Amino acid sequence: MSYAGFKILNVFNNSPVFWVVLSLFIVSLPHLSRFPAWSVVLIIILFLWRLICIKHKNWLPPRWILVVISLSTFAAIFISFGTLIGKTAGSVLLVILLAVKLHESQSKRDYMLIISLSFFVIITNFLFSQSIPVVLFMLFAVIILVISMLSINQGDAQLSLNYKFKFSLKLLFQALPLMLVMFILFPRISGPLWQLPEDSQSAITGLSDTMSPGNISNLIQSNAVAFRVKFDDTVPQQNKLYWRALVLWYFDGRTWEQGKHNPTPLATLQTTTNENIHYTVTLEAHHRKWLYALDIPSNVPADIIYTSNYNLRSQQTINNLYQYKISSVLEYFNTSEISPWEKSAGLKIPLNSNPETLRMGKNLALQFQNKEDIVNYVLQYFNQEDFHYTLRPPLTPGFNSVDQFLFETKRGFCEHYASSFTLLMRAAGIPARIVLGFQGGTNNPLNNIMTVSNSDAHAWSEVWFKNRGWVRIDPTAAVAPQRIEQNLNAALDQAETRPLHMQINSSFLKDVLFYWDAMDNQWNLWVIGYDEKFQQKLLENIFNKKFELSEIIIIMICCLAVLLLVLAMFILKPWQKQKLEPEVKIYNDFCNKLASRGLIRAPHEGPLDFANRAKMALPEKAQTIEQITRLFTALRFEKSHHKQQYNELRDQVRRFKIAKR
Amino acid sequence: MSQNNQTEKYMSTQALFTIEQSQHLLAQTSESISSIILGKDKQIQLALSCLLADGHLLIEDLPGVGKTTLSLTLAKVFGLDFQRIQFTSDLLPSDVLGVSIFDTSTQLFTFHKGPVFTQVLLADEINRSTPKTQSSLLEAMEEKQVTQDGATRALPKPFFVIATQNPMEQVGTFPLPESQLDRFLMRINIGYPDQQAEMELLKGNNRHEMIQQLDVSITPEQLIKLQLTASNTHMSQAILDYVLSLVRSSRLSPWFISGLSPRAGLALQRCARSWAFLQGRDHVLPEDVQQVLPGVAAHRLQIHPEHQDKNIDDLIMLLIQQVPV
Repeated sequence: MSYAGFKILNVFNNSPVFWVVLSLFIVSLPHLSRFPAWSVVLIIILFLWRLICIKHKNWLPPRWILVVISLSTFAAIFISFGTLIGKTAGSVLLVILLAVKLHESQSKRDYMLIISLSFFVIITNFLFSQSIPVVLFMLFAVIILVISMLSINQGDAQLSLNYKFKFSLKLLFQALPLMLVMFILFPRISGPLWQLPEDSQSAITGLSDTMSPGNISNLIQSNAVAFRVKFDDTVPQQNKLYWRALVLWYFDGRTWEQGKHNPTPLATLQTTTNENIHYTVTLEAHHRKWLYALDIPSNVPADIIYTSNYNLRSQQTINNLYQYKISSVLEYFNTSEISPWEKSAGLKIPLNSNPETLRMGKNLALQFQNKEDIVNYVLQYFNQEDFHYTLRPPLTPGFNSVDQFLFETKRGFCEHYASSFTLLMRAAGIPARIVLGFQGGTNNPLNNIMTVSNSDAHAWSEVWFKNRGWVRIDPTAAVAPQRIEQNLNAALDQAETRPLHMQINSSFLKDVLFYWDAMDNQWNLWVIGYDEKFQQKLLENIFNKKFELSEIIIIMICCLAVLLLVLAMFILKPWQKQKLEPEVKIYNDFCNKLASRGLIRAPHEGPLDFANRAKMALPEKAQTIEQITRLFTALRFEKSHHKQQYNELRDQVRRFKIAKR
Repeated sequence: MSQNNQTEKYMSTQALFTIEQSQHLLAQTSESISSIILGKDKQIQLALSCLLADGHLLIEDLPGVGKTTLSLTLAKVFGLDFQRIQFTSDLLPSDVLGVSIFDTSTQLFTFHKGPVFTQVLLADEINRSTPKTQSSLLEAMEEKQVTQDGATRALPKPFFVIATQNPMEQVGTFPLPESQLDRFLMRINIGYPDQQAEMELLKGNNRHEMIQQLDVSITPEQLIKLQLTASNTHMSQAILDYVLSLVRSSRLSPWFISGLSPRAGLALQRCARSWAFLQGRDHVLPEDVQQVLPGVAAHRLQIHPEHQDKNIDDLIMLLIQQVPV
């Protein structure tokens, strides 16, 4: 906190309203970038207006205005999102209604309610991101929330900001062990707890299942991690790292799509080497079903579907971090015949589009006998002619995009090359298809884990050769071999404007990024990746037995109870309480004897009052009660007393017996 | 300091009554008062313990419940001078304290003592006068002296102010601020007498005549001695702890705007001592503290706006119930 900021906070230190507004603002801050503009403006106005009203109390809006704002918010959210309970829609609704609530809050109770709901807003933030910066920010928000609670409840005590800050840290520190127990033992349920309707507005950055000119080069701009790989032994060479995700068969002249299900049974592949690459992939949630594996997976876990296109699919949508172990073989061939379905799909050409390309393909088929020669010719054509590899290719609109690229613009990104190459092959009568995925990856020297990010997205082709099967041909390699050998950055022209993440030249910053990446990976593995399976494994390792869900809950409750007890002991320090005086102990015995007859002394009841009550209830014991009380008051409240009185009291109480009813 | 205390104690024990002596004197007194004010033993005891604690008394009640009679009786049984001031909005400080008048025969200013120079002063409807006049009296109460025209004159000893306030009429009144309410050791309500007492009242003679016929049972000197004895009532550590936790919990309580001040704590201690003394004990019990707490605390505590619907006496009872003995 800067000095100026601290000063401002200090001015408002004793205004609970200020703190409530500040907490609400801080917890909704990460949301604001996701919210539609109108709601951000509304929220900020509501916050500012409430702050102004601290000074001008009668400027607070009347109730009907608040009702109008609330109702129009409902309407506006429904118009913007088509739902009220989606992830973003619900968050917008929650934050705006809380901001409205600020204006009608009067009592301590109202403010405490807003603070409680602010904690809930924190949780809604985690629906969007659970990364380290977000968590750190939310930790800061929690501190502010606790300071707000202190400000609301401080009453007349003018607590200094410094004190409140330290006190809230102390409170949170006390809560830390509880948090850890809850984190470790709270039952994890596989799959989402409830199904939130998908927001129409929430766009996911990541590989999509279609390919048209421009969509991969857009994806490159993002440096978000797609998945991380830990290789068991050696890391393959950079130019062998083709991460296969999807195979696209169907082309409409502009866009490639997966098309219908490929019914071909999986053929057994022959390998030239015995070298299997073993590795573990940790996939970030991409809300799709496909999985990534090195071309080509050889050993697939049982719960993963291995499709006839040699790519992997998960049974469920990947909504959380997902880890799988897999093996691949990098050299392979297939001697069987091409299936009729693949032959027809792999040769399908969209009618009435890209006529120039089709003509060129047909000419090539006439020119060369050998199919491999055709491929080589085209690759050389890309290499020799004036083709350029660029992130910002000229637009090629319409359904003749391949023609425009091949014969006019000659500037393109991997999708342009893959697309035009595949179409040329089909025109020349060679079955061909597009493969989408990633190429390359950045090995982090700190932990030897490879990070594959969106900027490594790539598209290439596969063509069918008899006796070889589907062969990977990457036309991009012909134009910009550095893209495959090194990375995208090396392949781009010096003059090209690169995405921000590629502009980092200082080795120090690169090191920092590596550290960050390593930390992020640990966070993913230990915190976000801590799921049902992980929890079971951990408990199994500790207790050497499997646990039911209910047993975990019981263990958690017991742990919490023990912790709370320890905390209470630590805070209340009962051992510091002064010992009871002997006469009080004896008197308490006397009271307990009377309590067995239903005569319970209230904590605030003086001995005389109690004696009077007891005498009324037990007239036959009146004299003894009187004597005991007199001895006790003499010992406890009189100026001078002697040992004899004490002994007498002890004996009297010892002898005092009442028949139980 | 401690030595000083010890000598003081030694000196005072010479002048002290024994418990039996004081019981004897006080029993007569209480009896005389009870014969005039019927069915109000608790209030009489509170007023007596306030007097014994050398503090001033504020009676807040409706007209006609016996405020004046009570103060007259108190003055009479202790054989004290009595003066009464009816507070009105045009009353001036000099009407209370006295005024210096130029004497043409001596060519000097002579001070004419106001009604405040008395032993028992009844300030009737104190909230009807302006704050200026109120504060002149309240200063005299605190300092036990009057400073006028540069000369300081001591008030007689004992000096005991009984002020009355009508809680119902708010028009044309100047309610005493909290800081001045604090000068009164106790505030009590008298309330209506019960049916039996009221019947006896109707049957009985004229109260004023009865007061005139009362015997003086205690001399002012004896009263001072009794006050000394009362202040010597033993307070054990346990009771001090109890008084302190009552005061502290009033500060933590959400019902009051602010809790009891240290001065209120001292007042509570004094009153508990004289109450216990009145009960014929030489030591204070928790019950004594509980009995005097409403009288000592009610006018010093302000109910928090959020709890305006509650009664101050109920809240003090709740406070008592919150603090274990």
